[in-house]
Amino acid sequence: MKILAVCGMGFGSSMVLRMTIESVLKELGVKAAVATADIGSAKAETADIIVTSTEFAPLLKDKGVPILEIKNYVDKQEMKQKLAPLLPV
Amino acid sequence: MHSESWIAQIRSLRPRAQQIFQELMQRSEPVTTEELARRYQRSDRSIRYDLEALATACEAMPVRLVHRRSGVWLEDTPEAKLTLRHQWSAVQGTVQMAAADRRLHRLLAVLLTTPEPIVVKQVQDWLEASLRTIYADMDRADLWLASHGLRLIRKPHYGAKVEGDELIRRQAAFRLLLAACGWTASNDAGNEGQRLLDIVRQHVDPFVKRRLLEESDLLAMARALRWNPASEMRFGSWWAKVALYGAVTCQRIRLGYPVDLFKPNVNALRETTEFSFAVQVAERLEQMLSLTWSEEEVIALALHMLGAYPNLHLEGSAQNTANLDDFSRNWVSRMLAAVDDALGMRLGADEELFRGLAFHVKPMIHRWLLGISIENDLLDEIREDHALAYYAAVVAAQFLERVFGQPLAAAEVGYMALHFGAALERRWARPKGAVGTVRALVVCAGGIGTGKILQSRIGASVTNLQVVDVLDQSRVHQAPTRSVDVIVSTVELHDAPVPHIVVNPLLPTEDERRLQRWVTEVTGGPEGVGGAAAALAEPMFQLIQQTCQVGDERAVREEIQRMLRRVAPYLTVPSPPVESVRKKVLRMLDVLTEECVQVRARAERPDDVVDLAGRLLVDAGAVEPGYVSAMKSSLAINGPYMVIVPGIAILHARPEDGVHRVCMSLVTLEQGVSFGHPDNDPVDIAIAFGAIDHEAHLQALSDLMRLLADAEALTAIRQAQSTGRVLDIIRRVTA
Repeated sequence: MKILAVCGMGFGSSMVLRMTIESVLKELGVKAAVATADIGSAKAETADIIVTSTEFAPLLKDKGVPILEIKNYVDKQEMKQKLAPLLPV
Repeated sequence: MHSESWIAQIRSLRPRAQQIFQELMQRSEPVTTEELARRYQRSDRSIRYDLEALATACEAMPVRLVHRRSGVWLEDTPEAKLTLRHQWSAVQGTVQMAAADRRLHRLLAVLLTTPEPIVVKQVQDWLEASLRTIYADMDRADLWLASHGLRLIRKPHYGAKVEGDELIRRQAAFRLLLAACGWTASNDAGNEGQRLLDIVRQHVDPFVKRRLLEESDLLAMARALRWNPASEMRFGSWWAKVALYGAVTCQRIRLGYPVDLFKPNVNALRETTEFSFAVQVAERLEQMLSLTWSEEEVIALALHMLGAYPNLHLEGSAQNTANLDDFSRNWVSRMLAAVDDALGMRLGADEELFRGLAFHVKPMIHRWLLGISIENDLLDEIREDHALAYYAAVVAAQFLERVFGQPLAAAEVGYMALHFGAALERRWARPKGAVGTVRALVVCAGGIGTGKILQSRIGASVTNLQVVDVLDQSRVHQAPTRSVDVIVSTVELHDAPVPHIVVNPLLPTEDERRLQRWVTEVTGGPEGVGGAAAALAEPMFQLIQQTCQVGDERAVREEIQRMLRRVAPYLTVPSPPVESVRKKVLRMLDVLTEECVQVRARAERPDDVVDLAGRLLVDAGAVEPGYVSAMKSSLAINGPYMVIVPGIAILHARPEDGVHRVCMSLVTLEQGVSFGHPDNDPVDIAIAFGAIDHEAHLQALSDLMRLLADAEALTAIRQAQSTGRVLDIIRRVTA
C-alpha cells in the first residue's frame, strides 16, 4: 500500500500531509508507505491512494486511483474520516 | 638455444609425446616402442606417431632422438643433457599443468558444444589420458562450469551434460577461448582480423578452436566490425573480444541453438547506441555469411559489446550530456530520485554527477546482467572514508536491485560511490580564494570517477590549488598545458610537461599534506600566508613584543612569515565533517527567531502578505530577495492551496530560489485577507519558510504541525500583541 501526498512543490504542505497521514495510520494500526511529491512529478508516480488539496485533485483524476481532497491538512479527524474507508482491514 | 624456445617446442606436442620426452631424458638405456605402448595403454602405431613428432621437435634442440631396433633414446653430449634436464625440471610443473589445462580445455569444449550426455569413454581419445585422469578432469570441468554460471549434470549410465542458458553457455565458450588466448594476447590483435586469427591459431588448441568457432566466421566478424567507424575508436581488446564472441555466436546460430532472452529488461537495450551498432554488424554479417541473425541474437551481441569493456567511452562524449542515450538518462534519473528520496538531498540536480553516473551505469548494468565481475581496489577506503557517499551508492544499488531482481556486487557499488563522493564534496566545497592560486591539471588512469573525486577533494581541502581540468593519462600531452602550473596525478607520468605529483585519488590526510607542501615548494610559496596561518601573524608578533625587546621589527615579521609558510599546510581547516552537518536537528524555534515574527500587521492582498512574511526572512539574511518573488509566483501558479488550515497560509518556494539556511517567519494580521481558498479563507496568520533540501526542515515542520493542530494556541497567537508572546506560546506547544 502506497499513499502519495501531493502539493505544489513537494517541500511544505505535502510534508505536513504526510505527517498527518502517518499519525492517522499509526492510530489505526495500518502499515503503509507514505511518499510526497510535487504536482508535476506526481503525475509520473505510482500510488494506491493520493491525498491532496481540492485544487490539485482534478489534475490527478486520470491516474485512476482514489484521490482524497483534504481541507485542513493537520486535522486528523478529517483525515481519518476520509482515509479509513480506503484502507485494508 | 634459449630454454623458452625448446620448451615451447615440447609444449606444442600432444601430452603423451611430452611424457615420453620426459621419460627419455631421464634414462640412459633405450626403450622399445612396444614397452612404451604397453605403459601408455596405446597401440604401437600411435606411439610411433608420437616419436616422429618428438624427433621433429628435437631437430631444433641440442639433442637428437635415435630410433633403432633396440629401442629409442636421446643422443647428446652429457653437458647438453644436464642443461636440458636442469631447465626441464624448472618448468616441469608448468608443462604438466599445461597438459592438464589442455585436457580441461578440450573437455570443456566438448561439453559446451554437445547437446547429448557424454560418457567418459567417448572423450578418452580426444583427451589422451587414462579413465582415472579424465574423471579428475571432469571434476575440474564441473568447478569451472559452475564458476561460469553453468551446471554439469553427471549421472551413472547417463554421462555428463551441461545445463544452462544458451547466453551463459556462449559466454562460457567465449571465456574459454579468451583463457586459451590469454587476455594480453587478445590485446595485441590491433583491429586486424588476420592478426586475431593468427593469435587464435597460435594459442588455442585446434581441437578446441574447431568446436567453438569457424575461422571464416571470425574473419567475417572482424570485417563487419571494422566497417563501422565507431569501432575504430574502441580499444584493441574490446574489438578482439567482440569479434571472438561474434564468431562463437555465428557457430551456435548455424548449429541451430538460438539464444533465449527472456530477461524482461533486455528490451531497454534497444535504446543503446551499442544496439544500433550491433544491428549494423549483424546486417553486414548476414550479407557475408548468409546467416540469419534474429533480433534476440542482435540484442545478445549488444549485451556483449556493453559488457566487454568496462569503461566504454566514445571520444569526446563524456563532455557532452546531449550524447547520452535515453537508456542511461532514464536509469540514472530514476536512481538519483531514489537516492534523493532516501537521503533528503538534491543530488539529482548535480549535472556532473548525472553525467558521470550515466556513463558509468550503462556498462555496469550490462556487466551485471552478464555476470561479469570487476575488481575495486579502493573499496575498503571508500567505505571507510566516504561512508555517506557509499551509503548513497548503496541506496542507488538497492533501487537497481529491486528493478533487476538480483544483487549488485560491492565493487560496482564502490565505483558508484566515487561519483557520489565527488558530488558530496562539491556540495561542501568551500569557496576558493583567487589570490595566489596555483593552476593544476588533474590526471587519472582512464576512468572519469577517480579524476573527478580527486578534483573535488582538492577543491575541498587544498588551499591555493585550482583544478582547471581533469584528463585521462593518455591525453596529457595533447592538452594545452600553457595555462597549467602543476599536474596532480593518480598515476606515475613520464615526460610530464610541468611538475607533477602522484597522490591517492581519495587524498587521505597524509597525501593532502604532502600535496600542500609540494605545491608550496614547487611554486616557490605564496608571497604571504593565507587563511588560518595569516591570522596568527599579528598575535604572534604581539606575543613576542610582550616578552622581548624587538630590535628589528621588519626582520621579526619576516621570520614569522617564513615560519607560518612552513606550518600553513598543517593549519588548513578541514572541510566540515559530513555527518555533523547532517545530524544537526533544527527545531521550529531554532529557525523562527524573534526578528522573524511580526504581530498584527496590515495587508490587503495575498501578495502583501507574502511581502510581509518574506521581508522578515530577507532582513534576517536567510533568503535572497528573489525568494519572495518566487513565493509570489508559486502562489500565482499553484493557487491558494497553501492555506492548508483555516485561516493559516504556509508560504514557501524552492531551495534553489535563493535559500541560504533553513528559516521560518510568522506574521499575524489585524484583518484577515482572502486568498481565494474555498474553505479556509480568510487568512490571518502567514507562515513563510525556506528549505535547503527535503530533510533539514522536517523537524521544524513537524513542530509547526503541532502548533497548527492546537486550536487554543492558534487563538492565543492571533490575539498576541508582542513577538515575545508568540514565541512563548510556540515554546509551550513544541516543548
